[in-house]
Amino acid sequence: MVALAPPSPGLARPDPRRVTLLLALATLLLALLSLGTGAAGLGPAELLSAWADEGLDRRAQVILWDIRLPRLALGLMVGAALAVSGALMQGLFRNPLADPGIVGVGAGAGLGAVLAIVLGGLLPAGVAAFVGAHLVPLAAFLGGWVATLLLYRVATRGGRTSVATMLLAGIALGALAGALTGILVYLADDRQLRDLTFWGMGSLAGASWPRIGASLPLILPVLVLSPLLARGLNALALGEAQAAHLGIAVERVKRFAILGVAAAAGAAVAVAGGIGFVGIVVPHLLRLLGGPDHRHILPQAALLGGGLLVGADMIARSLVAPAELPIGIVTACLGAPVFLWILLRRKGGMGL
Amino acid sequence: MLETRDLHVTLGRREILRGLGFTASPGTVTAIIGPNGSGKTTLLRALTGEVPYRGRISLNGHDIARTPGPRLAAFRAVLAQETHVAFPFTAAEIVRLGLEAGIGAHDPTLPERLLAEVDLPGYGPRPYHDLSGGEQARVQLARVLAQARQPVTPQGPGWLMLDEPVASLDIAHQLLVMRLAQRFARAGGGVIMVLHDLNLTAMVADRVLLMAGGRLAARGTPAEVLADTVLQAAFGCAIRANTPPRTGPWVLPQSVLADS
Repeated sequence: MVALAPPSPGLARPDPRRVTLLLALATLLLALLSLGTGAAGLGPAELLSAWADEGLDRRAQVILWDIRLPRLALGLMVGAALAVSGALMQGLFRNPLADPGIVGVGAGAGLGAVLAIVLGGLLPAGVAAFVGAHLVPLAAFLGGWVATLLLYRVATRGGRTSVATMLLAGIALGALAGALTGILVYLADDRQLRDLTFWGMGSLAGASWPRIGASLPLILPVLVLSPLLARGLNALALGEAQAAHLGIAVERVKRFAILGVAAAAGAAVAVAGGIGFVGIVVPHLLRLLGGPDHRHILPQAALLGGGLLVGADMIARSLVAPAELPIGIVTACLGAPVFLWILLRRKGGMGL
Repeated sequence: MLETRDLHVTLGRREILRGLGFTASPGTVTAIIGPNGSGKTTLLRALTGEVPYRGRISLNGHDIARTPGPRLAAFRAVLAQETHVAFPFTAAEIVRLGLEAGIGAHDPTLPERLLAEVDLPGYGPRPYHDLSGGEQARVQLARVLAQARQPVTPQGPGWLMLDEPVASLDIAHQLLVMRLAQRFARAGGGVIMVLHDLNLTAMVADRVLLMAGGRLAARGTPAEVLADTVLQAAFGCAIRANTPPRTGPWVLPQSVLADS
């Protein structure tokens, strides 16, 4: 009826299941490579041949089971947690620049960790012995949770959570946590300063089976259950009111997304310190690759985030071997240019 | 049936709706008209449960203040004045958002069929953000039609609530949207829409609600409401309405020059 310009070519998006499969294979490959990389000089070839022959000798077994496997598992977990949290936050805030730090997890966890490092020595001996080496992760996790719950309370009135208020209150809370952290840094001695600097740069070096056991119950449910929020997050792309008209229980989606991020990102930051850019860059790359549908992005983020962090950890371990770089430096060096590239290639507006 | 009684809405300190009530029946198109700031959009947002109100609104017998959103969404779809989309979805993906919420079988060809209905054939794979304003508006309309694709649902008649659905459209597409709204009503659904164009109102509406200052200044058939004195009082400018017996009313503003 109306004269039409010929439709311009549309987007040919790859089959999401194939993308997922490819990401799974790539992550598996990286994981195997990572098992064969390390300061002990035990390469993939040796590992394979030892496996094929009469099994591993005692030394190789210890390296594999007590050092490399827990480190691999922690890398996969932390990377997946950060990337899925990033995807959840970006969907919730309708903003491709949001990351888990936006709900106060980063600021709160940082303050908790610094508190533990600087003032941990003042704890009664009984408590210190009970918590042991887990004091810093525990404090970081609690700090992240307290910050998130505080922000959530501030932003929620009459059962409705204002995402904008949460964002702005998060800036205020971040500044406050920064100031408190500054006071503690001022009080810290040289060794503590070194510890908290390295904590801020992130590391998987603390990987151990008990630590994995402690964070898995917080991370795994979020990874597995987050796709249940996918439909709600897709609808939220139209705005909260429109999503509600589409029949989405918007307040419930917001609540679960925020609590899920507090749990998963909080646990990840607690065990691995400050690792940046995974939460922002991974969902971005996935959107470029296969479109913004959260039904695919959420599971794919777990795969790509895990694979990316394992890859970054391999670089961190081999670049200055036998020493290792803090992994946060590697993710920032990889992530920041990618992020800039994404910003520069967008044609305009918020069409990310 | 849509029934409202003694509706008050206060936003901030300003009372926007100051006590109004009306009913609308399924099978009809109800147009809400009135000058800027008279409360048209606020009325629609109250009807869709978007703003808190005093008074009573019931849709198909459900008190909408107490009915969970998902249940309302099964028989009521809403088109906002403007919709900003946060991520690079394609046109078909936007339409599918309406489908996922609705009930019934998932027909993979439905998004393309609905896009064709709003005169966007083959637009499914195109990025939403690359479309023009009028095309984006029609994609959103297709999404709303996807959600309300049954004029009569198992939960009673379906309802379309449209806030200025033709604001960014050329005249041919304005007529297209009016035809779709009318078809929905003739098939047993109810349509409530905010309109600015008095001639489109005259053409398509079965009932007209004329708002002024947060109240209903007039209500009735187009022929009753679209009358010189009524319109001039509400809009505050010189307007002539003409009602030839065959075509129904048409409305002409008097020249700006003549007004001064």
